[in-house]
Amino acid sequence: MKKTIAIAFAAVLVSISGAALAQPGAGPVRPYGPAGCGLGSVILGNNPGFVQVFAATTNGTFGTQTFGITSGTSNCINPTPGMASARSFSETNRAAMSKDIARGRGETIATLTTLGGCKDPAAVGASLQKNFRRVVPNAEVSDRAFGSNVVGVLTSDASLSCKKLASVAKR
Amino acid sequence: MLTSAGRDARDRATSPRHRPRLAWLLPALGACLFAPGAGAAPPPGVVSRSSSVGAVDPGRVPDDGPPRATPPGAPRDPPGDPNGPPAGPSQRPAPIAPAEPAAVEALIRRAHALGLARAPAWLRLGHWRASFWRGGHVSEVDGAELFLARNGRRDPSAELDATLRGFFAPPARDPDRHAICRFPARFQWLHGQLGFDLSRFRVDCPGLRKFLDLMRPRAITLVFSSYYLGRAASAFGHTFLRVERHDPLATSERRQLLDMGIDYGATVDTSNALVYALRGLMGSFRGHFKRMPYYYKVREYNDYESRDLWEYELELSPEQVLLVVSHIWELGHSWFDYYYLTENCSYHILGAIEVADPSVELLEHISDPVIPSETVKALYRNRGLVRRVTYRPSLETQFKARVRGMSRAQLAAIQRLASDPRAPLPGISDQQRIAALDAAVDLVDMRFADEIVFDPDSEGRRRKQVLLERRSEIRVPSADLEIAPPWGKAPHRSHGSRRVGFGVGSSGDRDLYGRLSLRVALHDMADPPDGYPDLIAFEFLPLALRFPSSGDAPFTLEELYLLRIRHLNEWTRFNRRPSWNMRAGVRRLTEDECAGCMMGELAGGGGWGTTFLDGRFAFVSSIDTMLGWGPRVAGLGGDSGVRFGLGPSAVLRARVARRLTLLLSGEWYWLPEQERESIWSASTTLRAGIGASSALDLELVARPGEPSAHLSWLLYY
Repeated sequence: MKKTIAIAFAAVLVSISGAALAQPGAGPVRPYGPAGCGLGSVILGNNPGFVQVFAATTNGTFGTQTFGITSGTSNCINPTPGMASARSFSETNRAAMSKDIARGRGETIATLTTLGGCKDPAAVGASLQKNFRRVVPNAEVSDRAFGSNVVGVLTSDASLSCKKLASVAKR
Repeated sequence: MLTSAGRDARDRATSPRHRPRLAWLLPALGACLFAPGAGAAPPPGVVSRSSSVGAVDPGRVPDDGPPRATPPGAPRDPPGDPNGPPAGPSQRPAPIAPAEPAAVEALIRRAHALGLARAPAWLRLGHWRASFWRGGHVSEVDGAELFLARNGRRDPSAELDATLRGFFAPPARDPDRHAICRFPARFQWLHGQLGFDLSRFRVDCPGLRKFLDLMRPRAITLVFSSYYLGRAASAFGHTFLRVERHDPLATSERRQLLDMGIDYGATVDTSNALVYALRGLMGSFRGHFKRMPYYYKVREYNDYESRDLWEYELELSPEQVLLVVSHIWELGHSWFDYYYLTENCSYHILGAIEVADPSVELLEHISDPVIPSETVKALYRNRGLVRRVTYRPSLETQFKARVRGMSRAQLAAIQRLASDPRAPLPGISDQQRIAALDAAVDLVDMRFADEIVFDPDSEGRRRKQVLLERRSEIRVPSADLEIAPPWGKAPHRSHGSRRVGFGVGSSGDRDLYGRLSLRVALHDMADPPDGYPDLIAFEFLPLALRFPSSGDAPFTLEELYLLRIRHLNEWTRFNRRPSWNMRAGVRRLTEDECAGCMMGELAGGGGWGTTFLDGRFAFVSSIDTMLGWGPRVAGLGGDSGVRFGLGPSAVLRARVARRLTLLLSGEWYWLPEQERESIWSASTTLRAGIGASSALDLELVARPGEPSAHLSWLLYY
């Protein structure tokens, strides 16, 4: 008898949690993402899971160190135009920016144009699109490499006149 | 209502008239704002000064005037002591500059004579709330770092004294520890009330200066991130702030992604879901404010979780914006206990905004549990506070816009590309091939959201890569997507999160009875659809009582659920996620052999859902399992009290008119190895929305033993 009840209980739990977990983003519990400014450093996967349903309205699962009001590490979070911010912006926005690059246009490209002090977003988009394989040579390329490849294209194409990246280009 | 009157923030922030006022902090805080050497050039028009301590042009101070926390014409703080000297800027007494202890004490006496310790603005700066238990005030801030006085958390008056003494203390060894550096918002407000002689301060605040230089605040926007059942904690939505950043390059086009996001959330240090839930309810996590570029938020919510963002820009003056941002700096030193249902993300975000002006009333308009969409509506309780509303479509919304109006062949091609990225492209024209590739890669991004962020060596990454390579070979830029905001789904238009229902009912052959229903939150399939996702029912603590009772008790409990959720996932060629439902609670049984028995139950299942005729009809069917327990229930083996069932259920909803909904639902469970072989129920609900916050509800329920009918007036509040 007890066994039947146990089986029944297990069946209900499995079916409910199975249905609930058939959601986007559901996956194994993940540690903090890889170092760097990539989006993985913010998103924790679906941690801690379904029982969270009882705890309704939080989203905050980030490290306080990187994003503290008073202690934030500025290499990831400084939006002032320049080399470092263009790079970290590209790292974090990699998933969206790689699409915009292939499409030759988009919000991340317009923003990158501002961060690099470049002249024209359309020209930046066209140049990156042409160099797509240089920016993303393969699917495995790291966020960091992606960021420096993007900046590399901008600095090597003089016609883009990316003023905020100029000093690095000379080096 | 959607775009309130008011000048464009852009014009205002760049108009020459405005600049000197934004720069008033310059002398006061040792050139905090836009200081040279802090990493960036000052905005045009702001005279850059040496960042050396106390380098002040005394002639500037009277020109700039004191900071005004309230716009001209708006009501100011009640002065407290009506006989005290007026605090208005025009009649302010000559600035005093106490340096001697005696002078500081005199200033403190004057502050008390003005009633500043009881002023609403001061109480908000310390988040002091009247305490029911102990009388007096106690702060919601739980970290000691927000208070200078030993008893500051419970004594606003002592904290005022300590703050004023701290302001005039000599520079600290660690410059950022000085009271002015820790409490810039208090300093702004007290300066407005008391008129400090700014030339006397010799304080430098490198940390604060860096912070303000990074923020360069110009406007503040409350952002609502839509309901997301994929992560249960986000089921009610989420709110945070976007601080619009002054663009030093003054480019013609603003780059919203470079604004700063301010988020308040629990700092979670466990991955055990049960511990997480319990500690969250009891408030044993610490809540911190965090800042990050807005693009982190966009990528996380818009893309990774596919949630639409609704942005409510606030009508605040530059001084008010600066005050709020300075206050967030103050809070950043400290922490709150984080309570999921009350003092949560949305609550403290509102508390931070309230500092802007005593006339802004926000926390007064919300109640427990604090639901993010209710905090958005609280903005609208303050006339003219919302300057404009904008909408940022999620990845899923963008994808749907891309495929709208496409032919069957095109849709099939996109589907094929998402699983075989090297499949041949449809159409001959570049435009057709671009449209197919652009949609297919969005689809891959949605399906493999996790892999694409976390796992470089994954199928999702590889498919995306091939599609992008193919796309990049067509050297034509994609056109911008034009997506009209779905105004009907804007969260400020949602019905109240709580619901109460008064009704009459009749069941079986019995007479009429009264029926009372309550629900703490949020929305079901038949409620008025404005402001809520169309295919989600999420009910927290729904309760139904009937009275008089048939027995001795004053009422009979019909049902009480902790949670009742139904998530209909529309099954399309692009979306193969199952629909699911779950419920956990207690209900009263009606079958003859156990009429009136109470049974606790946990039930749920998965299935298939669809919509048709442009969303007017929605249908879902599923296979569910149910586990119940009740002391008088016969159950498995005849006397265990445990009921186990397995069977199908279905729901059909028709939006007959915009505010008239018909809902048909039925369920049947096979009860193996139990005395009763099966159990079933079927119900019909007709609900008409009336006015902004009520509905008339007719419900007919058929089931073994006791069919019933109810007519109720539902109030959303």
